[in-house]
Amino acid sequence: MRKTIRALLLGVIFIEPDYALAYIDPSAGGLLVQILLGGIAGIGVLIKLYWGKLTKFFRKEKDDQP
Amino acid sequence: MTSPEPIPDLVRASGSYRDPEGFVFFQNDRVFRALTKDGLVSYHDFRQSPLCQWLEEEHWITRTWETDAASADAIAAKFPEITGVIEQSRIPFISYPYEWSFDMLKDAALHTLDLLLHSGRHGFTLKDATAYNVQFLGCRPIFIDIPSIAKYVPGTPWAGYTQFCQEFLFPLAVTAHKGIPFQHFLRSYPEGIALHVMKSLLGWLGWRKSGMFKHVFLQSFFQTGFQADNPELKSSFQSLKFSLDHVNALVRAVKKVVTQLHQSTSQRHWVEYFENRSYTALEIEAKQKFVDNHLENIRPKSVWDLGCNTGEFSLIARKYTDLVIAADADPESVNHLYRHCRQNGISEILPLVLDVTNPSPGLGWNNLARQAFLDRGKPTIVLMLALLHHLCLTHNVPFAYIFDLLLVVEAEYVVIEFVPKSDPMVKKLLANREDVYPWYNLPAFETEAFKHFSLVDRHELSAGKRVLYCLKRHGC
Repeated sequence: MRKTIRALLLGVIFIEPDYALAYIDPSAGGLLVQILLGGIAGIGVLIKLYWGKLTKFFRKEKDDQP
Repeated sequence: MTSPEPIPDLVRASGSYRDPEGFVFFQNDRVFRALTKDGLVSYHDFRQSPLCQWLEEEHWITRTWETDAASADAIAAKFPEITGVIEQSRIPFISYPYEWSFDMLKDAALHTLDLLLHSGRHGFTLKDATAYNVQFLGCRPIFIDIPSIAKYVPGTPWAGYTQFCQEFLFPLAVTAHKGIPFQHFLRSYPEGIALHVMKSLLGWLGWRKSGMFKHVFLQSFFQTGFQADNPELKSSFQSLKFSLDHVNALVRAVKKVVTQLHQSTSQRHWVEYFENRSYTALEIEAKQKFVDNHLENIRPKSVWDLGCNTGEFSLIARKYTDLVIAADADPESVNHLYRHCRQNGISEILPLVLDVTNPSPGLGWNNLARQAFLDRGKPTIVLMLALLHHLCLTHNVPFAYIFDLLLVVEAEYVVIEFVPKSDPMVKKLLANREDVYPWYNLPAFETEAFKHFSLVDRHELSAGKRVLYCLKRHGC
Protein backbone atom coordinates (compact mmCIF):
# COMPACT_ATOMS: atom_id res chain seq x y z
CA MET A 1 0.00 0.00 0.00
CA ARG A 2 2.78 2.30 0.98
CA LYS A 3 4.56 1.47 -2.28
CA THR A 4 1.42 2.26 -4.26
CA ILE A 5 1.15 5.65 -2.60
CA ARG A 6 4.83 6.31 -3.35
CA ALA A 7 4.31 5.35 -6.99
CA LEU A 8 1.30 7.63 -7.27
CA LEU A 9 3.20 10.49 -5.70
CA LEU A 10 6.10 9.88 -8.10
CA GLY A 11 3.64 10.06 -10.99
CA VAL A 12 2.33 13.38 -9.72
CA ILE A 13 5.87 14.76 -9.43
CA PHE A 14 6.74 13.94 -13.01
CA ILE A 15 3.44 14.38 -14.78
CA GLU A 16 1.68 17.36 -13.27
CA PRO A 17 3.55 19.51 -10.84
CA ASP A 18 1.26 21.68 -8.76
CA TYR A 19 2.25 24.75 -6.81
CA ALA A 20 2.24 23.25 -3.36
CA LEU A 21 5.96 24.00 -3.30
CA ALA A 22 5.47 27.65 -4.10
CA TYR A 23 7.60 28.67 -1.13
CA ILE A 24 10.63 27.47 -3.15
CA ASP A 25 12.78 30.24 -4.56
CA PRO A 26 10.99 31.07 -7.80
CA SER A 27 14.17 31.15 -9.83
CA ALA A 28 14.69 27.35 -9.61
CA GLY A 29 12.50 26.76 -12.64
CA GLY A 30 14.27 29.54 -14.50
CA LEU A 31 17.68 28.04 -13.78
CA LEU A 32 16.59 24.63 -15.11
CA VAL A 33 15.13 26.17 -18.29
CA GLN A 34 18.52 27.77 -18.81
CA ILE A 35 20.35 24.47 -18.22
CA LEU A 36 18.31 23.13 -21.13
CA LEU A 37 20.01 25.82 -23.22
CA GLY A 38 23.28 24.00 -22.80
CA GLY A 39 22.19 21.89 -25.79
CA ILE A 40 22.94 18.17 -25.65
CA ALA A 41 25.25 18.76 -22.69
CA GLY A 42 22.44 20.61 -20.93
CA ILE A 43 20.01 17.76 -21.51
CA GLY A 44 22.66 15.42 -20.14
CA VAL A 45 22.95 17.54 -16.99
CA LEU A 46 19.17 17.59 -16.62
CA ILE A 47 18.96 13.83 -16.93
CA LYS A 48 21.73 13.53 -14.35
CA LEU A 49 19.90 15.89 -11.97
CA TYR A 50 16.62 14.02 -12.27
CA TRP A 51 18.36 10.63 -12.07
CA GLY A 52 19.92 11.82 -8.83
CA LYS A 53 16.47 12.72 -7.52
CA LEU A 54 15.03 9.41 -8.58
CA THR A 55 17.76 7.29 -6.98
CA LYS A 56 17.57 9.40 -3.85
CA PHE A 57 13.84 8.76 -3.75
CA PHE A 58 14.23 4.97 -4.02
CA ARG A 59 17.14 4.99 -1.60
CA LYS A 60 14.80 6.63 0.87
CA GLU A 61 12.17 4.01 0.08
CA LYS A 62 14.70 1.26 0.82
CA ASP A 63 15.86 2.95 4.00
CA ASP A 64 12.26 3.20 5.20
CA GLN A 65 11.77 -0.58 5.01
CA PRO A 66 12.23 -2.41 8.32
CA MET B 1 15.05 48.01 6.02
CA THR B 2 14.82 51.48 7.45
CA SER B 3 11.62 53.41 6.89
CA PRO B 4 12.02 56.75 5.12
CA GLU B 5 14.00 59.07 7.35
CA PRO B 6 13.84 62.73 6.58
CA ILE B 7 17.17 63.97 7.92
CA PRO B 8 17.64 67.59 6.86
CA ASP B 9 16.72 67.65 3.16
CA LEU B 10 17.88 64.06 2.78
CA VAL B 11 15.20 61.39 2.21
CA ARG B 12 15.82 57.75 1.47
CA ALA B 13 13.57 56.35 -1.32
CA SER B 14 11.12 54.03 0.41
CA GLY B 15 11.14 51.46 -2.39
CA SER B 16 14.92 51.20 -2.67
CA TYR B 17 16.02 48.41 -0.33
CA ARG B 18 16.52 45.26 -2.39
CA ASP B 19 19.98 45.84 -3.87
CA PRO B 20 22.64 45.11 -1.20
CA GLU B 21 25.10 47.33 -3.07
CA GLY B 22 23.25 50.60 -2.60
CA PHE B 23 20.05 52.59 -2.44
CA VAL B 24 18.42 55.74 -3.76
CA PHE B 25 17.89 58.92 -1.81
CA PHE B 26 16.62 62.38 -2.59
CA GLN B 27 17.76 65.84 -1.65
CA ASN B 28 15.05 68.28 -2.69
CA ASP B 29 14.86 67.91 -6.48
CA ARG B 30 18.06 65.90 -6.83
CA VAL B 31 18.34 62.11 -7.07
CA PHE B 32 21.33 60.22 -5.64
CA ARG B 33 22.47 56.63 -5.32
CA ALA B 34 24.48 55.66 -2.27
CA LEU B 35 26.85 52.79 -3.06
CA THR B 36 28.73 50.30 -0.89
CA LYS B 37 32.38 49.52 -1.60
CA ASP B 38 31.46 46.69 -4.01
CA GLY B 39 28.77 48.81 -5.61
CA LEU B 40 31.21 51.64 -6.21
CA VAL B 41 33.81 49.34 -7.79
CA SER B 42 31.15 47.89 -10.08
CA TYR B 43 29.94 51.40 -11.01
CA HIS B 44 33.47 52.56 -11.82
CA ASP B 45 33.95 49.52 -14.10
CA PHE B 46 30.82 50.46 -15.99
CA ARG B 47 31.45 54.21 -15.93
CA GLN B 48 34.85 53.81 -17.53
CA SER B 49 33.62 51.49 -20.28
CA PRO B 50 32.68 52.72 -23.78
CA LEU B 51 29.31 51.02 -23.19
CA CYS B 52 28.32 53.64 -20.59
CA GLN B 53 29.12 56.54 -22.87
CA TRP B 54 27.22 54.99 -25.77
CA LEU B 55 24.13 54.20 -23.67
CA GLU B 56 24.04 57.73 -22.27
CA GLU B 57 24.47 59.37 -25.65
CA GLU B 58 21.68 57.25 -27.13
CA HIS B 59 19.44 58.02 -24.10
CA TRP B 60 19.05 54.33 -23.28
CA ILE B 61 19.93 55.02 -19.63
CA THR B 62 19.71 58.01 -17.31
CA ARG B 63 22.87 60.06 -16.97
CA THR B 64 24.89 59.60 -13.78
CA TRP B 65 27.92 61.40 -12.38
CA GLU B 66 30.04 61.49 -9.25
CA THR B 67 28.47 63.92 -6.84
CA ASP B 68 29.77 66.81 -4.79
CA ALA B 69 31.50 66.06 -1.52
CA ALA B 70 28.89 67.69 0.72
CA SER B 71 26.10 65.29 -0.28
CA ALA B 72 28.44 62.30 -0.12
CA ASP B 73 29.61 63.23 3.38
CA ALA B 74 26.05 63.79 4.60
CA ILE B 75 24.92 60.36 3.44
CA ALA B 76 28.11 58.61 4.60
CA ALA B 77 27.62 60.06 8.08
CA LYS B 78 24.14 58.58 8.24
CA PHE B 79 24.92 55.20 6.61
CA PRO B 80 28.42 53.94 7.51
CA GLU B 81 28.29 51.06 4.98
CA ILE B 82 28.24 53.63 2.18
CA THR B 83 31.50 54.36 0.36
CA GLY B 84 30.41 56.57 -2.53
CA VAL B 85 27.51 58.59 -3.86
CA ILE B 86 26.52 59.21 -7.46
CA GLU B 87 23.91 61.60 -8.74
CA GLN B 88 21.53 60.87 -11.59
CA SER B 89 19.25 62.98 -13.74
CA ARG B 90 15.71 63.24 -12.48
CA ILE B 91 12.70 61.78 -14.29
CA PRO B 92 10.04 64.55 -14.55
CA PHE B 93 7.15 62.24 -13.58
CA ILE B 94 7.54 58.74 -12.14
CA SER B 95 5.10 56.17 -13.48
CA TYR B 96 4.69 52.48 -12.70
CA PRO B 97 4.10 49.42 -14.91
CA TYR B 98 0.53 49.07 -13.66
CA GLU B 99 -0.17 52.50 -15.17
CA TRP B 100 1.30 51.71 -18.57
CA SER B 101 -0.58 50.63 -21.67
CA PHE B 102 0.21 47.40 -23.51
CA ASP B 103 2.71 48.90 -25.94
CA MET B 104 4.38 50.86 -23.13
CA LEU B 105 5.06 47.65 -21.19
CA LYS B 106 6.09 45.93 -24.42
CA ASP B 107 8.52 48.73 -25.33
CA ALA B 108 9.91 48.71 -21.78
CA ALA B 109 10.40 44.93 -22.09
CA LEU B 110 12.17 45.23 -25.45
CA HIS B 111 14.28 48.08 -24.08
CA THR B 112 15.41 45.87 -21.19
CA LEU B 113 16.24 42.98 -23.54
CA ASP B 114 18.09 45.21 -26.02
CA LEU B 115 20.04 46.73 -23.15
CA LEU B 116 20.96 43.24 -21.98
CA LEU B 117 22.08 42.16 -25.46
CA HIS B 118 24.03 45.35 -26.05
CA SER B 119 25.69 45.20 -22.62
CA GLY B 120 26.68 41.60 -23.35
CA ARG B 121 28.79 42.73 -26.30
CA HIS B 122 30.91 44.69 -23.81
CA GLY B 123 31.07 41.94 -21.20
CA PHE B 124 28.35 43.42 -19.01
CA THR B 125 24.95 42.14 -17.94
CA LEU B 126 21.94 43.18 -15.83
CA LYS B 127 21.78 41.97 -12.24
CA ASP B 128 17.97 41.94 -12.38
CA ALA B 129 15.16 42.55 -14.83
CA THR B 130 12.37 44.30 -12.98
CA ALA B 131 9.95 46.49 -14.88
CA TYR B 132 10.45 49.15 -12.19
CA ASN B 133 13.96 49.75 -13.57
CA VAL B 134 12.38 51.43 -16.58
CA GLN B 135 10.73 54.84 -16.70
CA PHE B 136 9.28 56.89 -19.54
CA LEU B 137 10.54 60.23 -20.77
CA GLY B 138 7.43 61.13 -22.72
CA CYS B 139 7.02 58.11 -24.96
CA ARG B 140 10.61 56.86 -24.75
CA PRO B 141 11.55 54.13 -22.29
CA ILE B 142 14.71 54.81 -20.33
CA PHE B 143 16.61 52.54 -17.93
CA ILE B 144 17.17 54.16 -14.53
CA ASP B 145 18.84 51.56 -12.30
CA ILE B 146 22.45 52.08 -13.34
CA PRO B 147 24.06 49.95 -10.57
CA SER B 148 22.09 47.02 -12.02
CA ILE B 149 24.52 47.02 -14.97
CA ALA B 150 27.50 44.94 -13.86
CA LYS B 151 30.27 42.79 -15.32
CA TYR B 152 29.16 39.35 -16.47
CA VAL B 153 30.66 36.52 -14.40
CA PRO B 154 31.44 33.54 -16.67
CA GLY B 155 29.55 30.38 -15.76
CA THR B 156 26.48 32.19 -14.48
CA PRO B 157 22.96 32.19 -15.97
CA TRP B 158 20.68 35.16 -16.77
CA ALA B 159 19.84 36.12 -13.19
CA GLY B 160 16.74 38.11 -14.10
CA TYR B 161 15.09 35.55 -16.38
CA THR B 162 12.24 34.54 -14.08
CA GLN B 163 11.78 38.12 -12.91
CA PHE B 164 11.54 39.25 -16.53
CA CYS B 165 8.91 36.58 -17.20
CA GLN B 166 6.84 37.60 -14.19
CA GLU B 167 7.00 41.36 -14.64
CA PHE B 168 7.04 41.68 -18.45
CA LEU B 169 6.36 38.53 -20.45
CA PHE B 170 3.46 37.07 -18.47
CA PRO B 171 1.50 40.35 -18.11
CA LEU B 172 1.85 41.00 -21.85
CA ALA B 173 0.86 37.41 -22.69
CA VAL B 174 -2.19 37.57 -20.40
CA THR B 175 -3.47 40.59 -22.30
CA ALA B 176 -2.50 39.31 -25.75
CA HIS B 177 -3.77 35.74 -25.35
CA LYS B 178 -6.60 36.07 -22.85
CA GLY B 179 -7.76 39.65 -23.41
CA ILE B 180 -7.36 40.47 -19.70
CA PRO B 181 -5.82 43.89 -18.96
CA PHE B 182 -2.55 43.27 -17.09
CA GLN B 183 -2.65 46.52 -15.09
CA HIS B 184 -4.77 45.06 -12.28
CA PHE B 185 -2.41 42.09 -11.89
CA LEU B 186 0.67 44.29 -11.66
CA ARG B 187 -1.03 46.57 -9.15
CA SER B 188 -1.87 43.56 -6.98
CA TYR B 189 1.34 41.54 -7.41
CA PRO B 190 4.43 43.66 -6.68
CA GLU B 191 6.69 40.87 -8.02
CA GLY B 192 4.63 40.35 -11.17
CA ILE B 193 2.48 37.37 -12.16
CA ALA B 194 3.81 34.21 -10.47
CA LEU B 195 4.34 31.04 -12.50
CA HIS B 196 1.47 29.08 -10.99
CA VAL B 197 -0.92 32.02 -11.44
CA MET B 198 0.15 32.40 -15.06
CA LYS B 199 -0.33 28.70 -15.68
CA SER B 200 -3.86 28.86 -14.32
CA LEU B 201 -4.65 31.96 -16.34
CA LEU B 202 -3.48 30.37 -19.58
CA GLY B 203 -5.48 27.18 -19.02
CA TRP B 204 -4.71 23.68 -20.26
CA LEU B 205 -4.32 24.61 -23.89
CA GLY B 206 -2.21 27.67 -23.21
CA TRP B 207 1.02 25.82 -23.99
CA ARG B 208 0.18 26.02 -27.70
CA LYS B 209 0.77 29.80 -27.74
CA SER B 210 4.18 30.90 -28.90
CA GLY B 211 6.80 30.60 -26.16
CA MET B 212 4.31 29.67 -23.45
CA PHE B 213 5.31 26.00 -23.29
CA LYS B 214 8.92 26.78 -22.42
CA HIS B 215 8.56 29.95 -20.38
CA VAL B 216 5.44 29.00 -18.42
CA PHE B 217 4.76 25.27 -18.43
CA LEU B 218 8.29 23.92 -18.57
CA GLN B 219 9.55 26.49 -16.08
CA SER B 220 6.66 25.66 -13.79
CA PHE B 221 7.38 21.93 -14.11
CA PHE B 222 11.04 22.43 -13.25
CA GLN B 223 10.11 24.77 -10.44
CA THR B 224 8.65 21.99 -8.34
CA GLY B 225 11.65 19.68 -8.53
CA PHE B 226 14.52 21.71 -7.18
CA GLN B 227 15.41 24.51 -4.85
CA ALA B 228 17.34 27.40 -6.34
CA ASP B 229 20.10 27.06 -3.75
CA ASN B 230 20.64 23.39 -4.64
CA PRO B 231 24.44 23.06 -4.97
CA GLU B 232 24.10 20.57 -7.85
CA LEU B 233 22.03 23.12 -9.74
CA LYS B 234 24.62 25.84 -9.32
CA SER B 235 27.58 23.63 -10.21
CA SER B 236 25.73 22.56 -13.35
CA PHE B 237 26.31 25.98 -14.91
CA GLN B 238 30.01 25.65 -14.26
CA SER B 239 30.13 22.15 -15.77
CA LEU B 240 28.24 23.41 -18.82
CA LYS B 241 30.75 26.26 -19.20
CA PHE B 242 27.76 28.55 -19.34
CA SER B 243 28.63 31.78 -21.11
CA LEU B 244 27.20 35.02 -22.45
CA ASP B 245 26.38 33.16 -25.67
CA HIS B 246 23.95 30.97 -23.75
CA VAL B 247 22.46 33.98 -21.99
CA ASN B 248 22.10 35.86 -25.27
CA ALA B 249 20.41 32.88 -26.92
CA LEU B 250 17.74 32.89 -24.22
CA VAL B 251 17.38 36.69 -24.34
CA ARG B 252 16.89 36.54 -28.11
CA ALA B 253 14.35 33.73 -27.76
CA VAL B 254 12.39 35.76 -25.19
CA LYS B 255 12.64 38.85 -27.38
CA LYS B 256 11.11 36.95 -30.28
CA VAL B 257 8.16 35.92 -28.10
CA VAL B 258 7.65 39.46 -26.77
CA THR B 259 7.83 40.95 -30.29
CA GLN B 260 5.06 38.63 -31.47
CA LEU B 261 2.65 39.69 -28.70
CA HIS B 262 -0.02 42.16 -29.74
CA GLN B 263 -3.00 43.64 -27.99
CA SER B 264 -6.30 42.62 -29.51
CA THR B 265 -8.32 45.79 -29.96
CA SER B 266 -12.04 46.05 -29.40
CA GLN B 267 -12.43 49.32 -31.33
CA ARG B 268 -13.76 50.86 -28.13
CA HIS B 269 -11.64 53.94 -28.48
CA TRP B 270 -13.30 54.62 -31.80
CA VAL B 271 -16.68 54.58 -30.06
CA GLU B 272 -15.44 57.26 -27.69
CA TYR B 273 -13.87 59.05 -30.59
CA PHE B 274 -17.31 59.30 -32.17
CA GLU B 275 -18.70 60.65 -28.93
CA ASN B 276 -16.46 63.65 -29.36
CA ARG B 277 -17.59 63.89 -32.93
CA SER B 278 -21.21 64.39 -31.80
CA TYR B 279 -20.30 68.07 -31.78
CA THR B 280 -20.60 70.09 -34.97
CA ALA B 281 -17.38 71.08 -36.70
CA LEU B 282 -17.83 74.64 -35.43
CA GLU B 283 -18.22 73.44 -31.85
CA ILE B 284 -15.15 71.27 -32.06
CA GLU B 285 -13.23 74.24 -33.31
CA ALA B 286 -14.63 76.48 -30.56
CA LYS B 287 -13.74 73.94 -27.88
CA GLN B 288 -10.21 73.48 -29.20
CA LYS B 289 -9.77 77.25 -29.43
CA PHE B 290 -11.01 77.75 -25.86
CA VAL B 291 -8.50 75.21 -24.52
CA ASP B 292 -5.70 76.48 -26.75
CA ASN B 293 -6.21 80.14 -25.78
CA HIS B 294 -6.18 79.52 -22.05
CA LEU B 295 -3.18 77.22 -22.15
CA GLU B 296 -1.35 79.81 -24.21
CA ASN B 297 -2.15 82.50 -21.62
CA ILE B 298 -1.27 80.35 -18.61
CA ARG B 299 1.87 78.69 -20.04
CA PRO B 300 1.65 75.90 -17.43
CA LYS B 301 4.62 74.01 -16.02
CA SER B 302 2.58 70.82 -16.17
CA VAL B 303 -0.86 69.73 -17.36
CA TRP B 304 -2.96 66.78 -16.24
CA ASP B 305 -5.52 65.79 -18.87
CA LEU B 306 -7.90 63.56 -16.89
CA GLY B 307 -10.17 61.39 -18.99
CA CYS B 308 -8.00 62.20 -21.99
CA ASN B 309 -9.52 59.52 -24.25
CA THR B 310 -7.28 59.41 -27.32
CA GLY B 311 -5.53 62.62 -26.30
CA GLU B 312 -7.08 65.26 -28.56
CA PHE B 313 -6.53 67.99 -25.98
CA SER B 314 -3.24 66.64 -24.65
CA LEU B 315 -1.90 67.17 -28.15
CA ILE B 316 -2.95 70.84 -27.92
CA ALA B 317 -1.55 71.20 -24.40
CA ARG B 318 1.90 69.94 -25.36
CA LYS B 319 2.45 73.11 -27.39
CA TYR B 320 2.60 75.13 -24.17
CA THR B 321 4.28 72.83 -21.64
CA ASP B 322 6.99 70.20 -21.34
CA LEU B 323 4.86 67.80 -19.30
CA VAL B 324 1.37 66.57 -20.06
CA ILE B 325 0.07 63.64 -18.01
CA ALA B 326 -2.63 62.17 -20.26
CA ALA B 327 -4.68 59.78 -18.13
CA ASP B 328 -7.65 57.61 -19.02
CA ALA B 329 -9.20 54.48 -17.53
CA ASP B 330 -9.43 52.79 -20.92
CA PRO B 331 -6.15 50.96 -21.71
CA GLU B 332 -6.90 50.88 -25.44
CA SER B 333 -7.40 54.63 -25.73
CA VAL B 334 -4.18 55.23 -23.81
CA ASN B 335 -2.35 52.76 -26.01
CA HIS B 336 -3.69 54.54 -29.08
CA LEU B 337 -2.31 57.83 -27.80
CA TYR B 338 1.03 56.24 -26.85
CA ARG B 339 1.48 54.79 -30.33
CA HIS B 340 0.62 58.12 -31.91
CA CYS B 341 3.16 59.94 -29.74
CA ARG B 342 5.82 57.27 -30.28
CA GLN B 343 5.37 57.33 -34.05
CA ASN B 344 5.49 61.11 -34.21
CA GLY B 345 8.35 61.62 -31.76
CA ILE B 346 6.17 63.56 -29.30
CA SER B 347 8.12 63.84 -26.07
CA GLU B 348 5.96 66.09 -23.88
CA ILE B 349 3.07 63.67 -23.31
CA LEU B 350 3.15 60.79 -20.81
CA PRO B 351 0.05 58.64 -21.41
CA LEU B 352 -1.11 56.63 -18.40
CA VAL B 353 -3.86 54.11 -17.71
CA LEU B 354 -5.57 55.63 -14.71
CA ASP B 355 -9.13 55.63 -13.41
CA VAL B 356 -9.86 59.04 -11.87
CA THR B 357 -12.35 57.39 -9.50
CA ASN B 358 -9.67 54.96 -8.29
CA PRO B 359 -6.19 56.42 -8.87
CA SER B 360 -3.10 54.34 -8.00
CA PRO B 361 -2.65 54.21 -4.22
CA GLY B 362 0.63 54.01 -2.31
CA LEU B 363 1.85 50.43 -2.53
CA GLY B 364 4.50 48.10 -1.16
CA TRP B 365 6.34 48.39 2.15
CA ASN B 366 4.57 50.84 4.46
CA ASN B 367 2.49 51.76 1.40
CA LEU B 368 5.43 53.96 0.46
CA ALA B 369 7.51 51.86 -1.94
CA ARG B 370 5.35 53.05 -4.85
CA GLN B 371 3.94 56.52 -4.49
CA ALA B 372 0.24 57.23 -4.83
CA PHE B 373 -0.56 58.93 -8.14
CA LEU B 374 -1.97 62.03 -6.45
CA ASP B 375 1.27 62.50 -4.47
CA ARG B 376 3.52 62.51 -7.51
CA GLY B 377 3.12 66.06 -8.71
CA LYS B 378 1.18 69.27 -8.60
CA PRO B 379 -0.28 70.21 -11.98
CA THR B 380 -0.52 73.86 -12.92
CA ILE B 381 -3.70 73.07 -14.78
CA VAL B 382 -6.11 70.14 -14.93
CA LEU B 383 -8.22 69.48 -18.02
CA MET B 384 -11.54 67.72 -17.40
CA LEU B 385 -13.24 67.70 -20.77
CA ALA B 386 -16.29 65.54 -21.49
CA LEU B 387 -15.59 63.81 -18.17
CA LEU B 388 -17.90 65.38 -15.60
CA HIS B 389 -21.08 63.55 -16.69
CA HIS B 390 -19.27 60.19 -16.56
CA LEU B 391 -18.00 60.87 -13.04
CA CYS B 392 -21.30 62.22 -11.71
CA LEU B 393 -23.87 60.10 -13.51
CA THR B 394 -22.01 56.80 -13.95
CA HIS B 395 -20.00 56.80 -10.74
CA ASN B 396 -22.27 59.02 -8.58
CA VAL B 397 -19.41 61.37 -7.67
CA PRO B 398 -20.82 64.62 -6.17
CA PHE B 399 -19.65 68.00 -7.52
CA ALA B 400 -18.01 68.74 -4.18
CA TYR B 401 -15.75 65.68 -4.53
CA ILE B 402 -14.61 66.80 -7.98
CA PHE B 403 -13.42 70.13 -6.61
CA ASP B 404 -11.93 68.41 -3.55
CA LEU B 405 -9.75 66.38 -5.90
CA LEU B 406 -8.55 69.55 -7.59
CA LEU B 407 -7.70 71.03 -4.18
CA VAL B 408 -5.84 67.88 -3.14
CA VAL B 409 -3.54 68.04 -6.16
CA GLU B 410 -3.23 71.82 -5.69
CA ALA B 411 -4.22 72.60 -9.27
CA GLU B 412 -3.97 76.32 -9.92
CA TYR B 413 -6.35 76.20 -12.86
CA VAL B 414 -8.96 73.85 -14.24
CA VAL B 415 -10.59 73.78 -17.65
CA ILE B 416 -13.79 71.83 -17.10
CA GLU B 417 -16.78 71.07 -19.30
CA PHE B 418 -20.30 70.88 -17.93
CA VAL B 419 -22.50 68.53 -19.95
CA PRO B 420 -26.23 69.09 -19.16
CA LYS B 421 -28.94 66.44 -18.97
CA SER B 422 -30.36 67.66 -22.27
CA ASP B 423 -27.19 66.56 -24.06
CA PRO B 424 -27.65 63.45 -26.27
CA MET B 425 -24.71 61.66 -24.60
CA VAL B 426 -26.15 62.23 -21.10
CA LYS B 427 -29.58 61.07 -22.31
CA LYS B 428 -27.87 57.88 -23.45
CA LEU B 429 -26.25 57.44 -20.05
CA LEU B 430 -29.61 57.79 -18.30
CA ALA B 431 -31.71 55.98 -20.91
CA ASN B 432 -32.34 52.81 -18.93
CA ARG B 433 -31.97 54.17 -15.44
CA GLU B 434 -33.97 56.16 -13.00
CA ASP B 435 -32.75 59.74 -12.85
CA VAL B 436 -31.70 60.05 -9.22
CA TYR B 437 -29.53 63.07 -9.88
CA PRO B 438 -31.72 66.12 -9.18
CA TRP B 439 -28.56 67.88 -8.00
CA TYR B 440 -26.90 67.53 -11.42
CA ASN B 441 -27.59 70.96 -12.89
CA LEU B 442 -25.66 74.04 -13.93
CA PRO B 443 -26.50 76.35 -10.97
CA ALA B 444 -25.47 73.64 -8.46
CA PHE B 445 -22.27 73.05 -10.40
CA GLU B 446 -21.40 76.75 -10.42
CA THR B 447 -22.20 77.14 -6.72
CA GLU B 448 -19.75 74.36 -5.88
CA ALA B 449 -17.12 75.58 -8.33
CA PHE B 450 -17.11 79.15 -7.07
CA LYS B 451 -16.57 78.06 -3.46
CA HIS B 452 -12.95 77.35 -4.31
CA PHE B 453 -12.31 78.79 -7.75
CA SER B 454 -12.96 82.05 -9.50
CA LEU B 455 -14.13 82.43 -13.06
CA VAL B 456 -11.53 83.21 -15.70
CA ASP B 457 -13.72 82.47 -18.71
CA ARG B 458 -16.94 80.73 -19.66
CA HIS B 459 -18.11 79.64 -23.09
CA GLU B 460 -21.38 78.00 -24.13
CA LEU B 461 -21.30 75.53 -26.96
CA SER B 462 -24.66 75.83 -28.72
CA ALA B 463 -25.88 72.26 -29.22
CA GLY B 464 -27.06 70.66 -25.98
CA LYS B 465 -25.66 73.72 -24.20
CA ARG B 466 -22.45 72.21 -23.00
CA VAL B 467 -20.52 74.88 -21.11
CA LEU B 468 -16.77 75.28 -20.91
CA TYR B 469 -15.15 76.91 -17.89
CA CYS B 470 -11.66 78.08 -17.18
CA LEU B 471 -11.36 78.48 -13.40
CA LYS B 472 -8.57 79.72 -11.17
CA ARG B 473 -8.12 78.50 -7.59
CA HIS B 474 -8.69 81.13 -4.90
CA GLY B 475 -5.42 82.50 -3.61
CA CYS B 476 -3.37 81.60 -6.71
